[in-house]
Amino acid sequence: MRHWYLWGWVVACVLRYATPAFTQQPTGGGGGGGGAAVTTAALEKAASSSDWLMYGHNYWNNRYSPLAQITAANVKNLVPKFVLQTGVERLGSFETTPVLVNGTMYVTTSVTPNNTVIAYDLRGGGKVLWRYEHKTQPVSTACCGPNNRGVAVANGLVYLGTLDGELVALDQQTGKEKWVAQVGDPASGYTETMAPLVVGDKVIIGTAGGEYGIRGFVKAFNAATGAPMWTFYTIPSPQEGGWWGTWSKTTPEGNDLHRDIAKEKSDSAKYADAWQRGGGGVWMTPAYDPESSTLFISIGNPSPDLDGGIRPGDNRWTDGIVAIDVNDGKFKWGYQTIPHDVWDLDAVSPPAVVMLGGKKVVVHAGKSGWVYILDAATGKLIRKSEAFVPQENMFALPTPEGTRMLPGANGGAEWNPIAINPQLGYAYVAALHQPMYYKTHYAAWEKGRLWLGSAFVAIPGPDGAQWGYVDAIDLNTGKLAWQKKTDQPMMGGVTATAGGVVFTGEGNGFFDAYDAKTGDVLWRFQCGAGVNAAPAVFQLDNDEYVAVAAGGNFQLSFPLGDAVFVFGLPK
Amino acid sequence: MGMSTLQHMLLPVIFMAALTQAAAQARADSGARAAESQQIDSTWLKVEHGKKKAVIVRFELIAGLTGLNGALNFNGFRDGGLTVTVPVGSTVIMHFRNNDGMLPHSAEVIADQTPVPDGPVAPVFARAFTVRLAEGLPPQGDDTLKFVPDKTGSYIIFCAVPGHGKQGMWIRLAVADKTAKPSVAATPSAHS
Repeated sequence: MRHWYLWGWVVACVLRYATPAFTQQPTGGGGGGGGAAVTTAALEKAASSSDWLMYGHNYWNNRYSPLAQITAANVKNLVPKFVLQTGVERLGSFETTPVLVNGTMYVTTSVTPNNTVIAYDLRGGGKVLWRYEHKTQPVSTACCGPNNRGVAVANGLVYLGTLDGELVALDQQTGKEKWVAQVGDPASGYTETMAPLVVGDKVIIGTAGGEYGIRGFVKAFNAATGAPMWTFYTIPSPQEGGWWGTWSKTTPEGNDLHRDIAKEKSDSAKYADAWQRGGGGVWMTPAYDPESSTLFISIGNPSPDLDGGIRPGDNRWTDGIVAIDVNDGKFKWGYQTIPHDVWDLDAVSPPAVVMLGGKKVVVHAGKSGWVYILDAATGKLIRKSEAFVPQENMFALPTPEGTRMLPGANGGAEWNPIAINPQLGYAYVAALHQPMYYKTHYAAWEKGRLWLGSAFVAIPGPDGAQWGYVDAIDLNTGKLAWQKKTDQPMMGGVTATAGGVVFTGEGNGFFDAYDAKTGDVLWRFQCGAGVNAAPAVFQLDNDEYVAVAAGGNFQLSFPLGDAVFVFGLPK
Repeated sequence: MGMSTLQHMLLPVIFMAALTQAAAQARADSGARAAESQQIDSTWLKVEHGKKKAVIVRFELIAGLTGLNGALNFNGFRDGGLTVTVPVGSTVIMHFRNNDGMLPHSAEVIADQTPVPDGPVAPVFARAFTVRLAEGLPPQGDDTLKFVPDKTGSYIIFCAVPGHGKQGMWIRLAVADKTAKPSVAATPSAHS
């Protein structure tokens, strides 16, 4: 049976990736100061592109480059070709994934103090073509440090979400502002850190802010004008069916959540308005399936994070993977990984789509420490992986004194995007092991104030030792194909290639290449600052490169920096 | 500011704090839920006498001790809700520890000001700050602030990680005259 699935995989991959040839001009037209224009057709064919055209490489968000010049055999020879220092103040996390369009590289910086986009001409030796600096208003609602994860590029425009809650469209050739739209109010906690996604005539963007009592959403704006087109709220209002759900005592897979359903129900009238500040941010880039016009979004934690007593019900669709129609933002299906979460175990790592045994599935790595494989058409669970990090005392309720439970509140898998090698049927996860005490602490909501209803307390000594993992999950079985321990918790994300290589970085500054099949470390390079961003792989004038930001992570106190490294094979 | 003046100022303040706390408790009892109030731990403050009767004040400054304000607190207090009083000219040794498991924090003594700065500014006393002021020290990270307050007055101790102080992560330092007895007391919070 397993072989049948694998053959299905191979056929699907051949059909998907072999059709268009890799060309150096895959994006269509354009050229000039800021790079070639990226057409809608090019975005739809991004999976076969030798460029890196969007945050997750392609609409399926699988971070799998079809390039195979750099292989498991020769990756050991990689050398730095460019080290491009952005020059921004080293105070935030540098989490960008560069977008590569025909030799032009678009990079966003940490927001210290302003959102910045830089267009580099790699053919011109890394010359700066333009630099856009957004006059970002001071924001004190970026709980975990100022950061930005990248841009979207389409039809002559570059799109940026800003920490002060705006969506900005820039002229791709000049970096000049074309339009600005307000997405949310930063004073109330609505901030933008994710890379937007362009689908047809729409720019798709969500919002961060689950630590401030927002009501999460995904919005579509007209890509040409910035006019709002639709909004999907992740927390259904009572008129939309409410966020109470089915009052489930367990996860969908049957894990006991230790809920006092009777008390929650009796409290539900008292907290009838809690949904208005229920959290559910969407702070990572969705996956998109053009065939079904469906966006797949991962939804963050309920607010307040650990105090479930003031938000009775399942708190739908927090911690959920939800499918919505890209045309109108209408709900299609949802899968709530943890109803009534009281551990801050967001569904945050971006979903990815893959063909598995002839069926289109959505793959999500949870903070919970499991990978969820869902039917893309229905949202039904096909498989849950074995745990990819240690789990301990799972779903024990937080207390005022503190409850030790693993994973910690960063997961599992944090925002780190996964990568998928469709040939092997493996998903690669960068994961964290951070023992913590979960403590409750009642707090009333205050506009613009951190609202956790809790504290996460580090555990001193050996019992609290932290580390990370790079995991390969066999999607056909849910089993760990391999697992490699790292010195520190992993924060950044993974990229895979057809050359049989998996790239990811560590907080200690190492950028690593793993053998996709075995997990053997094939190559390492010390970048001098934490490599806490997901890499991009691309081709330029017949040579393959891998680019990654090395600027550390504020929240985990990994060494900060401001450089983008571009590696290639020696001539 | 002389000792007697400070005492006169502080007594009604402490009284008002008690009243406010009682009122808040009454409101909470009639309402849904209340946050627990933080107790002052007598072990936080220690006083030693060095050569020539020099006063050495040791204080345990704990970032994110409780879940109050999403752990953006010192010793369980926010927005000036705690005041450490030391005599001018004493040697103050503050042992800073980050108890928050999620975010980095720092501490710096600065002039009393509203609003609290977004990030690091010049400290009011030499060496009255932790290292990595803007980046903060990680969970369980620690450092020692050792300084001699040479001017009486009212100051604040705030977390200089951008945004944290402004979000309420600050307490007060009162530098009283030479004869003042070091103390730590709950005071009215600027946040009501």
